[in-house]
Amino acid sequence: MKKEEVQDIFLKILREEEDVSAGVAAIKTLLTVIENYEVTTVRELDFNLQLAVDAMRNCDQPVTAISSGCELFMRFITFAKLDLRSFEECEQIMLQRGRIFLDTLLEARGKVAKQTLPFISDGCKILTHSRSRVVLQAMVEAARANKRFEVFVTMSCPDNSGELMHKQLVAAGIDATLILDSAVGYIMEQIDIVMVGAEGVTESGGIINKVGTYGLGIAALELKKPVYVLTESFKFSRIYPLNQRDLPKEFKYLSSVLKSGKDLAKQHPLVDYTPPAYITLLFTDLGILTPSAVSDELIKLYL
Amino acid sequence: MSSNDEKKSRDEVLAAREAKKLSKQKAKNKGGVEVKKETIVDTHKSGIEKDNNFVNKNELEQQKVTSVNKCDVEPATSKGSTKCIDEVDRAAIKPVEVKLDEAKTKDEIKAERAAKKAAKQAKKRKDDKGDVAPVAAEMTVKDVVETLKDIANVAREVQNVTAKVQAISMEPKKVQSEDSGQSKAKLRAERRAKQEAQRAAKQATVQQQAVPTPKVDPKSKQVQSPESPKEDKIPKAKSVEKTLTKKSQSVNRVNWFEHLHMQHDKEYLTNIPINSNLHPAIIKLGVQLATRVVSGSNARCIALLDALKKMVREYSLPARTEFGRGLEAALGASLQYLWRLRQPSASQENAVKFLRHHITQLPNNVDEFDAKKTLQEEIDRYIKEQIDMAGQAISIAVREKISDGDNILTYGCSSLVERILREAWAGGVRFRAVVVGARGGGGGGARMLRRLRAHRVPCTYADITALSYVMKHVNKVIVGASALLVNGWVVAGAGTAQAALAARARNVPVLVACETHKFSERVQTDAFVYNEIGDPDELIDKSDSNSPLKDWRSNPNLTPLNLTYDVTPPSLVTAVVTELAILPCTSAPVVLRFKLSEYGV
Repeated sequence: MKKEEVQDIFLKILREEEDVSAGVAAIKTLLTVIENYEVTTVRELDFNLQLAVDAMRNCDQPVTAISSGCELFMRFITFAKLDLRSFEECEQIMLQRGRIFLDTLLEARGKVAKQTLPFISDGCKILTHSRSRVVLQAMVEAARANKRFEVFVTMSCPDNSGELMHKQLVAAGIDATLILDSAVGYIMEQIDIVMVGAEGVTESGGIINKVGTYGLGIAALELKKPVYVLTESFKFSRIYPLNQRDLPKEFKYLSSVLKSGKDLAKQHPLVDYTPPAYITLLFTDLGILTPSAVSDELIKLYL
Repeated sequence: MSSNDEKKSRDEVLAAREAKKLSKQKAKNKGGVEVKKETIVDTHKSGIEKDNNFVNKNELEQQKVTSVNKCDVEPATSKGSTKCIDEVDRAAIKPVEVKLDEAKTKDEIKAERAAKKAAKQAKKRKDDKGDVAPVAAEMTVKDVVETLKDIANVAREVQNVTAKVQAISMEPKKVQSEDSGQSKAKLRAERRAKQEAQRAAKQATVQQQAVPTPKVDPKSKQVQSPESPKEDKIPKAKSVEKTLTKKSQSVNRVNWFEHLHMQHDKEYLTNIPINSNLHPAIIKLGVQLATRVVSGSNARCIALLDALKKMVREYSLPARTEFGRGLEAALGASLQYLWRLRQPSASQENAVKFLRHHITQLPNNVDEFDAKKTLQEEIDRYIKEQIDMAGQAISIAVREKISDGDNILTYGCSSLVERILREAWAGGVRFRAVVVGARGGGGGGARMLRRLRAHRVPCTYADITALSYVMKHVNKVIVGASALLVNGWVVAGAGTAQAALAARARNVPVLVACETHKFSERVQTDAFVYNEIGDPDELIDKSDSNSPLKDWRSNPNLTPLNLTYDVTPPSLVTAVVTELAILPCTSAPVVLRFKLSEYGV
């Protein structure tokens, strides 16, 4: 199995399926790896999967969601390993479980959107940051339920992903306004809810998200606006950053930047860490959680 | 001091009088005191060896317990002091001998009863100096033996401290006191030699005051030993008349803290129940806990488990009793005794819960030998998994959070934090430790500093008063904990909350290193409802002879308060590092639930 092949599969999924997040794409890739590559032992399979995970981490995409998704997937399917006689049987079980896992992931977004619905009331103003598929779906669903609300979207430099979000919101018939990143403080006083997605949820109950979220959170806390995080539970990961400096490098920078050997202090970080103190609630497919409940869920998952 | 001696000797004299009666009876039965005296002399030698072994073993255990003392025991101890301590130990042996020998004679119970009676009478009557025989002094003798052993330990510890401090040459004042300590140690040694000679002379006659003299001697010596708070304390508490101490206590206590356990009340050391039902290891542990020879959450837990293991091993099952029930009863009595001397820490409570769980798991018709074996294995496993391996896991987890060039602040003394920093340094992480200490219960900063320096970790020492100043340069705060409560609050040495608050004010992340065996189901939101009151003398600067706090006992308007613990709210703690994971404090209930299912703790 070649590293490049895995990367091709992964990037192809990301390109072709617009609606799929990096984590899900990673899991899909892993499933393809199990399906397509002939192996004869569990060890070999394990090795292959590990290789695939490494390959995906190195293909110049934001790595946060990939790593948590892969970790959870491995955890989920490897339960099948030991209790079966033949390897073929085992492989089948793994595939089956993997598909079930993927299905629940794909359903997750709908669940989150449904839970958010009662929190979006008529006439409210929502501030969101960057582009998040979950947030988008929740808003579209609220609009479908004939709620009248107004959305402010930040541009979110450097990749200006907010523009795409704005476009999609307008297309769904939602009253959306694009604002500057630097206008967050200005706009905050007229906002009712801050609603953001997440690339990863840490064990502390904080989130790792597109850079700028931390500033948004601080401003929201200062002006006493609730901050709601919409996220699927496969983004929960077992890391515990103490502060921004403590975030793993590979989360903050693309692998190409890391490899180039440039002075990292002079590079733009991709993500920042928002501590749990700035988050009011997390809307997940496991239910609406307080930040402190995240570690409870993680302990349940991993211990 | 002198009144103390007097009282003591009075006690003994009276006890001895009672004993003489007994010995007369025995003379009728057995053939007289003379015979017994000989046996005493015979067994004396072997007794010394035995006792020395005992002491050595004890030392070994302590080293294991704190896993640190190793560095400060040997090199630091000056020759004079070692010798002196040895001799104190030997002095202590004599009474032990007497006791052992006595135990052989079947009249133990009688003698004991007589001794108790004598002790009671001692308060009423005064100048009655009859013959003194070694026989019935058992009660007091045993007391003295126990305390002396601990005093010896404490003395060694103090010597180490001073020597180390001198080595670091932190404070000139300390150095001075060290000097005086040494010279005093020499003096002691000389005096000791004189007394040995005296005693030898007296032993030849084997009469009247042969026994009280050696018994009193080591004590008077101890009393004069330099600048050790504990050494001073023990005899003092004994010397002061009971009524007097009570009065001074109520006057000198802060009235909001009346409900709390008094740690510096050493009175209980005089009436330890020397009762054949308690295992000697338990009695020893009790004194060690009370005098704080064994302190620190982990050390106390290991010491307790070790003592309980000995108890289990040597437990003899009464006839027609189920093993589990019999042991449970013995355990209950032992714990009652221990908890009276010092209230249990969360780690100890959990350890006991664990042991009780395993006792109840024993089948009804279990073989005694098998049951003992299982329980001992379980205890060993608990120590290994819950304390040792947990510490290792935590050490590894924290090491990832320490990066090169960091300044790591720690407050007080914690064996776990010491281990983390030591192993991180050994693992090649180049950081600097900022050790913060204080006077009183929570401050073991000097001890921590000594231990870290022994492993060549670069250190800075700051007093708690300088906390907000040094916090500017600190990257992380790592503190140990005594317990993590179910509501996420952290119980730790007094001053920890202040350190956490100062860190929060500067946005410095605060890590609490805490094994899951210290998680407690209690809920507490302030340090008043449950705490321990430490020895107020710890608050007083010993090197300052003009200290206005010096004679607080005689001043009814002065109430020094030395609280041992405080609680830190979860909002000030960034993360708790446990062996399971790095968690927010608020996850304590989940961990407890998890452990409940896993270990029955």
